[in-house]
Amino acid sequence: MPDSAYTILLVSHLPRNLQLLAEFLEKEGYTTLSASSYGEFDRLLDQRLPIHGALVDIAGFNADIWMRCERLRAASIPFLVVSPQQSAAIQRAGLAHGARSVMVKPLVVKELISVIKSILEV
Amino acid sequence: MATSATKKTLAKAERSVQAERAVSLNGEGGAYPRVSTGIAGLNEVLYGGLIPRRAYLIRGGPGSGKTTFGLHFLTTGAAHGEESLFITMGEPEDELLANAMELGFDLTHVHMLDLSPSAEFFTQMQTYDIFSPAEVEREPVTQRILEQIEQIHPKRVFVDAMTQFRYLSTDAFQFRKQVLSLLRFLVEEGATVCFTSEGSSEAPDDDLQFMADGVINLESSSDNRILTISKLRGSDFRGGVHAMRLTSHGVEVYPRLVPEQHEQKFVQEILSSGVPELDELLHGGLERGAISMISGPTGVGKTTLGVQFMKEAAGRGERSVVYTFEEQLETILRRCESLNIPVRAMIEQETLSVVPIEPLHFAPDEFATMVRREVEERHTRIIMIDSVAGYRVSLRGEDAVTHLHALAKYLQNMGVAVLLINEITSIAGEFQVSEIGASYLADNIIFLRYLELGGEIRKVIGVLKKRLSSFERAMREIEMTRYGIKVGKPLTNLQGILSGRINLIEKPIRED
Repeated sequence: MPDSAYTILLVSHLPRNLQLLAEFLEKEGYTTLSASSYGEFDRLLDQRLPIHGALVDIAGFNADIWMRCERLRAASIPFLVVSPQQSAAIQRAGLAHGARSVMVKPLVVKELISVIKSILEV
Repeated sequence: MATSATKKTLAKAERSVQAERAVSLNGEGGAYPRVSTGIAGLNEVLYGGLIPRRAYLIRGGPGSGKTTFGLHFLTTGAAHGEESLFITMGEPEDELLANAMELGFDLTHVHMLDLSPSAEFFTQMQTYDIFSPAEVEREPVTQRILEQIEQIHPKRVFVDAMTQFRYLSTDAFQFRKQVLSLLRFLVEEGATVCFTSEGSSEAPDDDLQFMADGVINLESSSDNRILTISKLRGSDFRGGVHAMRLTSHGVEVYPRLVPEQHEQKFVQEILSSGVPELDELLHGGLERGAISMISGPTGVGKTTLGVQFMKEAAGRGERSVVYTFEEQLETILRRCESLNIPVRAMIEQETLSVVPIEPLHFAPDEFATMVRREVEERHTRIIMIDSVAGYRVSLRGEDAVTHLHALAKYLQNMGVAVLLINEITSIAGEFQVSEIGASYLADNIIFLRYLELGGEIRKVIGVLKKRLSSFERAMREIEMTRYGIKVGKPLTNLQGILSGRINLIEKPIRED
């Protein structure tokens, strides 16, 4: 499957983060969907669109974000959690709720692309 | 259409070549043509200017004049028809233009590339933390620089400040790589590049210094600004510390005076004082290209004696300048007039200029530049420094005697007669020539002394040293009268004048 056939769901509280992520991923040939609130997230998932992977920036969200992670797991969508700081608790919680990996901000574009590639290939 | 454009480009190229050549002819530059920095004193320090198509680092703390330097550099290029580009990373364009206008720079022909962060940067929409700024901002910044360079092909580029790129690099290695490739790109496109750095002990800029072909350091302390060159590939330069000033019309640099670099052929002749007895005492007078020190206690007539030589020179149409560090202009003029020296007429005919020097206003090199202008542009032949102690106290910075030495040697090489006025504190008593150790400078030492004789205070004049000729060993009485300076016959019946214990002797002692 070529990269352009993959759709990636981006979740972040900051609009500029979503914009930048979309910019970089689209340059790599991916299609992206963005959600900056729980409402948007739920709506997109309810539409049952073909989503191949997700990236969840948990900064600015409360503990309910883990329920959304469970939804992704239930839908068999592989996803990454992005944390604002290096924290063992977040790492544990993220992995416990189905994340393939927990990454710490700021992300390095090249690394991010290769991690996304790897989770999509599994 | 095409041919006219080509012609225009050719004419422009020719003009810029002419500009470079003009600089190289003026300067002492060697194998390379030079590019003017737009600051005359700095061109002199660089032996003609910058070597084209190289990259130079301008270092300095806040307010040290880096941006103003850039304005000089670019506007000089633009004035010669060279395409010039200002890349600003910190100060916004409109602010920069306003400041430049304030200093009298015309930036209408200078291209501006504003890469400073805009106000929107701070708003919610622009805030991000998912990537580091290095990842996000670098590409658009690089892209905009590339576009501008390819569009206008500048001959001169000024980047203010290159250290901003540090925040666009993830680590020191990336930064080095980026700066090097940017500099190489600019230079390959034909530009001479100057870039600034905000170096401090917390954020050292050693890496930039290694990358640059030349490093110009601007330093400022509370009362002093100095410029030094610490590196210049492919050329020699004038080392040491040079004085600098930020004026209302930009940067001025006063190169450190190196006397050996100035020489002028002159006729070895003797300047008469116009007073026959005084000339007898000096076996003719004072020589051109000699440093003469006139030493004596306060009020004895040292300045007047010096001006007497100038009066005689004015009669031959020669120009003299008195730099007075202590007395008011009016005081000197009135006193000289009362002694029948027509100073006001001399000033009117421009054969004399009396320049009062404000204390703590000038750095020694700045003062030296002023003296040089007098000598090189107005052909002044006698210079008086009144006094040596005043010079030392009034000029900012240390090492006054060294600077005075350099200045006096320079004047000597240029064939100017130098008069150093030296006041000694003791009215009578143990004999002293100079209290600040400057007497080694003098080729001639003339001294004036008070003398008590028969209950009356009188003055004597004598010569202690004369390198270029013999002189009369006896002292003579000197009087300042309203008809002028009067010098008497040799005093051969007195002894003990030097020790301050004067005796009348019945007949002159003759040892030889």
